Amino acid sequence: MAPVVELRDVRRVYRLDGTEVHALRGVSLAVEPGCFLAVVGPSGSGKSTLLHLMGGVDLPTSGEVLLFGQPTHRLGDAHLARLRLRRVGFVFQRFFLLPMLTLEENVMLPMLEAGVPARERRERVDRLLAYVGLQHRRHHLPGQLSGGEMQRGAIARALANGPALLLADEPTGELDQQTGREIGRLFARIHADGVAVVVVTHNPELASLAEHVLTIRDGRLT
Amino acid sequence: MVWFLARRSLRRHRTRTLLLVTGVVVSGALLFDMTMLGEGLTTSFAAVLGRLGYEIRVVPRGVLPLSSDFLIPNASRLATRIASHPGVLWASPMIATQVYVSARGRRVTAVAYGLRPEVAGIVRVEDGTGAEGGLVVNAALSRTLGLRIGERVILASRVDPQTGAPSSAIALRVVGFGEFPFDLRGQRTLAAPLDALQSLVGVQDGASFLVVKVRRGTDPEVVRAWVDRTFPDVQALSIPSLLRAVRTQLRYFDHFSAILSGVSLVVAVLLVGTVLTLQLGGRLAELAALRAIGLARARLVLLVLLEGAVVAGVSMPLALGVGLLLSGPLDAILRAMPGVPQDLRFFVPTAQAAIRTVALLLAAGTLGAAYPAWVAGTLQIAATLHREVL
Repeated sequence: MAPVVELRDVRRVYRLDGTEVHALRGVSLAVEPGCFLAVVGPSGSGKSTLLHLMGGVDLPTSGEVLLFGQPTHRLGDAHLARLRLRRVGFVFQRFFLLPMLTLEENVMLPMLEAGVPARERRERVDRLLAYVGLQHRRHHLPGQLSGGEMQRGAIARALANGPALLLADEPTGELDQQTGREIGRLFARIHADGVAVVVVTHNPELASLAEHVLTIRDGRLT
Repeated sequence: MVWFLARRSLRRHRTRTLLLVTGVVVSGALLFDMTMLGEGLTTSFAAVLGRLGYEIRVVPRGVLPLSSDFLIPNASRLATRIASHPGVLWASPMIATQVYVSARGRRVTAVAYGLRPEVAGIVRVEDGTGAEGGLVVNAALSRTLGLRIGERVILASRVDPQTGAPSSAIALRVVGFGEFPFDLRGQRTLAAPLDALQSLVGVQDGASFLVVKVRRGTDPEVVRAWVDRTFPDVQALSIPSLLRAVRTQLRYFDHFSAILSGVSLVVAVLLVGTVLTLQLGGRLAELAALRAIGLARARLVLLVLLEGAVVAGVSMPLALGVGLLLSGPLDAILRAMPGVPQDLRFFVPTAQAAIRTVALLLAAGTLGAAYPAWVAGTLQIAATLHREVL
């Protein structure tokens, strides 16, 4: 089977205050469908940049990122956004649930954008909230939830349109150890259900749940 | 989804949104008032002219449209010739002059119209009959002299300055009370039979102007052009041409309303722009996350533009209501100016004025959201998310 995402000699250079910052220096890797990959490394090593390139929210300076076989640098913004909406799920360190929406509305948001019919939306929200164990919190605003609940809600939102690839950037970075452990178990379950999961983390316990652990240092995989 | 999000985003900071809406309501109310002022005078003038019951006014060539200082000689003959046009129902001479009115030992001046029975629209009779057999007087005149229906009054065209005796006078009875649409505030006015007034002022078959009623289905402009062509000593003015003439004379009202409309629009644009830009600054990471989960750039731009439009939309009914409330006192202030006919209104609420205000306010809301929409559209997703975590 073709990789869900593949990086070929990818370089990413930023300009910061007139200085060139080499975030990635010739990275090549392939994420196979249904695999669980953890990317670890020190701060500033390029982990998040790697994740952003994989998800098509950033484009390489050189090299090629193939997302579901399609080179991201050749896709227009609308096409790339559609690809992310339907086939990629994002989980962030700071959750980024919209504070003015209830939990179920947050989970419903990607479905609304994808044009999922109302009845199916309701069914999917029920299923997803049950999946992450938050049915009883569906009408709560994010401000009324704990950190762990918010992250579980954000994971439910990332799974809203049934993605084949879930990308998580430091998903336990804002959580205590116990809650982080629960989130780790949730990722393992998602992986077991056949979704390819890529987690960027500093958390060795979370990384230990992955099938493969890649270490990145100074923009290079080691 | 963007519609849903736009509404919810504005409800997030309720106080801020409420203050913004209040500002836009004030701006929109002023905009509505200025739109009404721009169109109201013409609309009101057209309504008054429409009630007069004629479509064309014929005046001596070279005089101002509403002047009555010069007389048209042989007016009956001219009226007969104009009435011979197949599109004309009737043509009638009229005199407008100043007279002295005496009754119950008192004497005052008044504006007098001499007219034939067919020119009924010039006076709105509220009690009694029309001016065929006597005088119809307005409230100001009847109040000043304490007149009653059936009462005999003396009209004089001149009064000897030494003796105070009228040099030319006729006696007529009051047959009705009525209102004249072009009366100035407090003006004393009467309508009398045309021949009586002609004999009073000593003009045999003279008229200040002629009024012409066209047949149903006839374009008044055609008759107007024919009169202009056929009779070189007079000029014909249709209601639209009268309106144009009045509009030209009152051009400064247009300028005034255009400037204040512009100012209120700019204020609305700046208000919406400033508040939405501030709100956007506090949720850049959220917007970047929305982009990451699959919202295209164009949709994010649309979301912010819609937020501006929603602010304008929410403000609209209140702006129209407040504008309508304010227009009453503003109208009263302007109508209190000297020389303004009492039936004329400066602020006339019309569907057209409301539609124009709604459209301009929506445009202002959307335009105000243009800058924050541009900021949202050019947002770098990865850099913004990265910055948020640091």
